[in-house]
Amino acid sequence: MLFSSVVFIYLFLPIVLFGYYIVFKKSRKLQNIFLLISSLFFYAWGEAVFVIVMISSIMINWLLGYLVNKYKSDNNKCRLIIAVTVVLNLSVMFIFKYLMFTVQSINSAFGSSFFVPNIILPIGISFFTFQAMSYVFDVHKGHGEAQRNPINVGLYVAFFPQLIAGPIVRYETIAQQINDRKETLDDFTKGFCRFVVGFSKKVLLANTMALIADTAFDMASDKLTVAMAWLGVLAYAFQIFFDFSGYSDMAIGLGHMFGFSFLENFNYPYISKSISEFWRRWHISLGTWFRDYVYFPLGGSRTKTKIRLVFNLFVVWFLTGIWHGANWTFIVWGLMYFVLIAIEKLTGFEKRFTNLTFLKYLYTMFFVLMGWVLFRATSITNAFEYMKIMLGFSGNSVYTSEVWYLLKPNLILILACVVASAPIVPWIKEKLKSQKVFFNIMYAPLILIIFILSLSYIIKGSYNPFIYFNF
Amino acid sequence: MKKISKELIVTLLSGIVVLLGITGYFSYEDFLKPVKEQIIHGYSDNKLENPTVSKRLKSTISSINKHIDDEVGYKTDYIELNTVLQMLMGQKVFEVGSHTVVRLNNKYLTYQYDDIDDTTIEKNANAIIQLDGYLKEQNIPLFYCLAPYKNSNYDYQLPNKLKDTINIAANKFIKILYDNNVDYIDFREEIHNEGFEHYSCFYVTDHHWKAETGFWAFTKMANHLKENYGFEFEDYITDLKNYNIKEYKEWFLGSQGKKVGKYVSGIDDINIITPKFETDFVTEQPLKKRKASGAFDKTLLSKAHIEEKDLYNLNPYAAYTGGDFSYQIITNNKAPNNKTLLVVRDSFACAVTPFLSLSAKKMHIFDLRDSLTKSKTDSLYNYIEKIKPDAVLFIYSSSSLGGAEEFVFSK
Repeated sequence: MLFSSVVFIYLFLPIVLFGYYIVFKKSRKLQNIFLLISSLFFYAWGEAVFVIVMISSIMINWLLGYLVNKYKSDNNKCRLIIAVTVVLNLSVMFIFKYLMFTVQSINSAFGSSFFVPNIILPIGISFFTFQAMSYVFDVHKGHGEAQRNPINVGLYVAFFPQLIAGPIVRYETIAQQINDRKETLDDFTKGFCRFVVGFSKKVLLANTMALIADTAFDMASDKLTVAMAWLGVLAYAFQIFFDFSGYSDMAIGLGHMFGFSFLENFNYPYISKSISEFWRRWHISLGTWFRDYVYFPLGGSRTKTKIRLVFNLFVVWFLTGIWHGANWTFIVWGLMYFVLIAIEKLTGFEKRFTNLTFLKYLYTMFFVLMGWVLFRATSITNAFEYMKIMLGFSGNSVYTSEVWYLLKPNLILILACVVASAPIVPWIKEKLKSQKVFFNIMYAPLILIIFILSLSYIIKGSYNPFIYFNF
Repeated sequence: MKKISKELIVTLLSGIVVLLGITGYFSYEDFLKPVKEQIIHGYSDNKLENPTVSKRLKSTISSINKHIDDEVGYKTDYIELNTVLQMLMGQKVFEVGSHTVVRLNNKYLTYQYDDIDDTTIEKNANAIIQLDGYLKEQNIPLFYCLAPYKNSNYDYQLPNKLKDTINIAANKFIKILYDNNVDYIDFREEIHNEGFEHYSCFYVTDHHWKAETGFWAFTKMANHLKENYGFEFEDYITDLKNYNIKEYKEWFLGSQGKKVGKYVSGIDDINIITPKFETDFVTEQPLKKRKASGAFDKTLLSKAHIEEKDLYNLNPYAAYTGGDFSYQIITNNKAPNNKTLLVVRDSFACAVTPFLSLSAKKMHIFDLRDSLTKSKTDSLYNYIEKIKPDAVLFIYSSSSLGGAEEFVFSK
């Protein structure tokens, strides 16, 4: 089920809110059970059979969490349990997400003809698997109590706001909230408004940019002009940002509506002046997950040798790339960031060239955009062909009127994308502090209008792809 | 008194908006009953091939989801709001679900299709050529009638230099038929040769040709059958003066109009044409075991589609014939001859076959797109063997040329 769908807005959410706040309001335990059942139903709506995979993951990780807590004084047993946690969870992910790709790659590399199984990817498996592992890791580290009741672990893993596209909620951040949270009207209403903002980012901005991006990326390479190639990748950069950050906003907003507080997942990544900064602002929950559970245990930046530092970075960025998808494009994408971040760390790039901020920004955005070409392309060959066209090395025309036909009806929304990508609105609010009353008066009609306009899009059944569902 | 926050105001007002939408689900007939049926029977009655548990569940959920999408309250108001917004931003190409609706420069609406590849065009044309060859061996003529598509070959009105994929495909298809001596008529050329304004032959908001255009096409087809294949009849049946024409003004929001709302290109008028002279028909739908007998307006017109004005829920064009049926037999009890016609059609034939049935004793009409035809009937070849028609007629629009089912004649 998508948040930006009629069934969610008009049926699922109202029914869940009714059940949570009216029917089960007197019992936290019943509320949690109700939320878990609702979440499983939410998942089953899109993936009826795979809800079994989710429930199995919940039960297995609950048991592992119980065991790691039981043997917390025995380091060897704990290490074994952690190892089992990693192997089991990643094995499940491997089978569903990477087995087909692995066999195809082996066949391609060695000319073999091993049977390639046709396996359907359960939506959100990368997200809930990482969350499930986080539970065991955090219990082991003492960053959260082991839950006696598997319902609570189920709720943590499967809670519908963040179930299929994050943010990856760390167990330690909400361990206490499972049983001890306070729902307030203020939280609820602010959460709802945050949901509406995310909803409109997704429906009004991301979906429109998707149409432009798809037009460019689906074009035959001999017909793709330089201008259209750049328009396509810029549109894709907006699409993926508003798609994903919009979903995170909706998830965080929904969490607030039920008394949960999730950490932020995006912080205006397109204003970054280095690749390292970009990854501190983009998909923060994934970056911090890899940092805390992979990078730091490997030694992080505090290594005896530079080679070890580079190795640690390589592992993290290889895994980051492959986490995003079973395709060589994602691996190359991840390794591109490895190279750039390694260079930045080894040269102290972030602290240098302080008077060349704009150039640093251009450098960052250039590689981010190239990265998105890799991310969007279906193969490395296609990606490089696209980049060649972008850079004018393919001999294609620079411009045709098709670019204008695509731009013209979308100019207002493109402008909105630019404004929403940078902290312009907070800056304006800060500058016009004395006009608080004006902002307060304008706020409600503005949010209501964008809510209604967004509803009109989903009801009309316009193009509504959700790209981070592939993870 | 506690201050009412701006967020609370938003939440309350948005809650009202959502509640208004939920009112659409209170209808037992339109929503609760079909959803109940889907839940109870949808899983077990699934008609998928080799249905696994996963496929059945997905299919059932998908059907329920469709009802939820279709019945949300104030749906048409939201559609209209959305397209007005897009029009204000200068949009002429509207993505609506899986369809792309384009507002032509002359305000007519059309669908934009992907390219139809040459392999598909050749495969489909070859199916016709093969059938023609088979029929010639049995001295049964085949007559292929290519109904026109909204876009004109001679008057390009697509915005944004969009490609006219359908006419490009139709040109290739017709050339193959021509090179292989298949008897055909290309109504795109006929319209041009007669000096008609191409677009005025169509509804503004629907992909079909007007009823009057369908009638004119019938006269062309009937005269061709008469002159070439011995289908004798009196000329009065092809004279529009012998028909009543009832006009329904601003009555019809076509398939394209329903997707984008009435503010994009307005609402169409529609005419209902009925014979002034006496008629007596029997119509059957053998696969659904339905039968009706009586005059033209009792058997070949469906008044339920036109008597009430309901822009979004009714399709007045389907008043002719009653819509699309997988298999229909029309028997003319006042036939001018003893001829049997086998017609393979798409929806453009709706405005043709009621009149065409005046020129033969019996018409067997097949719509190969329908799942009933595919699952319950024999192949077209087997039907030809059984029926032994005096002629086989295809009435397909240019937009059907890329179809997967339309040109499958063997099992």
